[in-house]
Amino acid sequence: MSEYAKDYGIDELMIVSLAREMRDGEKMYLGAATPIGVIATQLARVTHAPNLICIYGMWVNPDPYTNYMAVMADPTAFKTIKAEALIKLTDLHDLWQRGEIDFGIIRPGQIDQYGNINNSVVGDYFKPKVRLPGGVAIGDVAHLCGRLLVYVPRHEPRVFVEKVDFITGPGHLEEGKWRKNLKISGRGPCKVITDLCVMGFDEKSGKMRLESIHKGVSLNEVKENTGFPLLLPEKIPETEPPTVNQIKLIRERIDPSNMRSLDYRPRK
Amino acid sequence: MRKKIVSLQEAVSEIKRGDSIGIGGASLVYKPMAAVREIVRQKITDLTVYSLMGDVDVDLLVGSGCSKRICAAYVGFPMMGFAQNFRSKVQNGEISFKEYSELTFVLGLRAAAMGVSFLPTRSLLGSDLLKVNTDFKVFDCPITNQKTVAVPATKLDVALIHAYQCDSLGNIYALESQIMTDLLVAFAQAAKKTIVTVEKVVKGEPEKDTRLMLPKYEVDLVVEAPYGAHPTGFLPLYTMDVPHITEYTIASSNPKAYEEYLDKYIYSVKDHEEYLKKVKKS
Repeated sequence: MSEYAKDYGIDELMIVSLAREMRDGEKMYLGAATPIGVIATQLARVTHAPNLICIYGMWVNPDPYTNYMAVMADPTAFKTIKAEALIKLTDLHDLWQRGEIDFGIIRPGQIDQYGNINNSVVGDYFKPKVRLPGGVAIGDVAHLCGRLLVYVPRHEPRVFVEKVDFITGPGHLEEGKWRKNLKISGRGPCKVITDLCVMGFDEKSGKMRLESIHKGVSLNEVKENTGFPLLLPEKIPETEPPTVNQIKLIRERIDPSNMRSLDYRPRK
Repeated sequence: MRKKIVSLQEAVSEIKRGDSIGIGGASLVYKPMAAVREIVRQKITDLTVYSLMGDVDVDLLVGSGCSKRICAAYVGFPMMGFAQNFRSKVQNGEISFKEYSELTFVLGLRAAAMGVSFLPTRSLLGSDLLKVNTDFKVFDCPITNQKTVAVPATKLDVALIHAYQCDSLGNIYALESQIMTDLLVAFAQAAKKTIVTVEKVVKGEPEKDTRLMLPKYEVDLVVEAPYGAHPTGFLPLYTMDVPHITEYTIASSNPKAYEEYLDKYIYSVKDHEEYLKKVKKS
C-alpha cells in the first residue's frame, strides 16, 4: 500500500509534502499561476482527503483527472472543465471574510524568518529597486485563511531574507503574539516547502524552524541558501518520500502534460 | 433621447482628461482593449486608472503617457513576466501606484456600488499596505470594539467593460459560463458613466446560453466591437493571444520597439476594424 518510490523528482516531492498538510473535509483556496499547488490539492483529493473542497479562482472541485491548467492555453479546454460549481468573485471573498477557508497555498517573492511575505517591492517602497507585480490576494489570505502553506520552488537567499523590504502579507509579527492580541482569524504561514527542505514555525518565538531535509541535500546547503539563522531541531530527519502510488497518480492521471515543469526548474 | 449604440470613437470621446476610469476584467481576460486602444489613439491624458489585476491595459495607458496614476492589486503578466512600462515608471518615480489587495480593491468598488462611504474589513491589519495606501483608515468597530480597516468607496467617472451581447433595448448579456461577471457589474455600478463594448449587438431577443448581466439603466453607451478584448481573452469564446502578448512584452522592454508597437497597432490604425485586420481576426 504505502511502498515508497525510489525514483522521484524534487517537484514531485514538493507536491507530496504539500498534499500531506491537507486534511479530509477542509476547504481550501488557491489563486492563479500555482501549478504545484493545484496538483498537490488534486492529489490529496484522490488519496487521503476525498472530501477536501478546493476552490481554484472561481472553480470549485474541478475534476482531478481533467487538466485544469490547460485552460490557460486552450479555450476549448475551458468548456471541458468539469467543476462542481462556479462561484462569484464576491462569494469567494465572503468565504475568506467569514473565516471559512481552512488553508490557502501561496508562492512568495520574499519571505523572512517570521514568515512575513513581500510581493510588492525590492528596496524602498517609494523608490524601489524593483517594483514587483503585487500580491493580489496574499495580503488577504495572510489574515483571513486558517493557515498558509507556502511553497518556494527555488530555495535561495534572495527569497529567504532576514527582514522583508515590505510586508504585503504578515507572518508572525511581535513574535507571534500579534494574531492573538488582535484576534486575527487566520493563523498565518505554518509550513514552508522548498526544493531543499520542509520548514515550520516555532510557537514561542514565531521564527522559522527546519523540520526535514530532502534526500541528498546537506544542512550546509540549506544554511547557505537561507538569509537568516534557521532554528534547528535536535535531530534532522529526511523528508518522507512519495509513495509509488502518489507518483503514479501525479505522472499518469493528474498531470500527464507536466504542467508542474512551469513552476519548477531543476538546479544546474 | 440620445442614441445608445454609438461608434467607438464617439463613446471614448466621453472620457475627459483627468477622469478616473475603471477597467473591467482581470489578468488577461475580459479586458475592454478596443476601448483602451481608442483612449491611446485619442491621447486622453492624466487618467487615474483602476484595474484589479492590470496587464496590457495598464501598461499601454502608462506606456503611451495617458496615465500617471495606477490603482490595482497586481500589475504584470502571470508566468510571462513584468509589465515593463509600469515597472520602470514606478521605479523612476514617473508614475504613482496606489496598491490594494484583491479583497480591498473589490470592497472599494462595492462600497461605491452600494452608495456607502466605506466597507469594513479585518484584512490588511498587519500589512504595510495600510502604511503606503493612506486611503485605508483603521478604526475601532462600534459593534465588536475590534480594530477594523475602512476601505473607502472607489467612485469612478467612467467604467469600461467588454461584454458578450447587447439587445435592441440596450440590456447587456453575459455568456452562461462566463466568469467574474460580478466584478464587471461592480465596476459599472461604481461609475457615473458606463461604456460597454460588446462582441455583438442583436436585434430583438438575446441568444440562448446567455444571462442578463447589466440592465439597460446601468449602461450609458454601447459599442459593437467583436474581439474587443484582444489580445486578452474572452472565455469561453476566445483565449488570450499568447504570440501577441509576447510581442507586446518584448516591445515594451525597449523604447524604440515600443514606439513602433504603438504606431503599428494604434496610431497608424484608423479604428477597431482595421486593427482586427492587422491582427488577422477578421
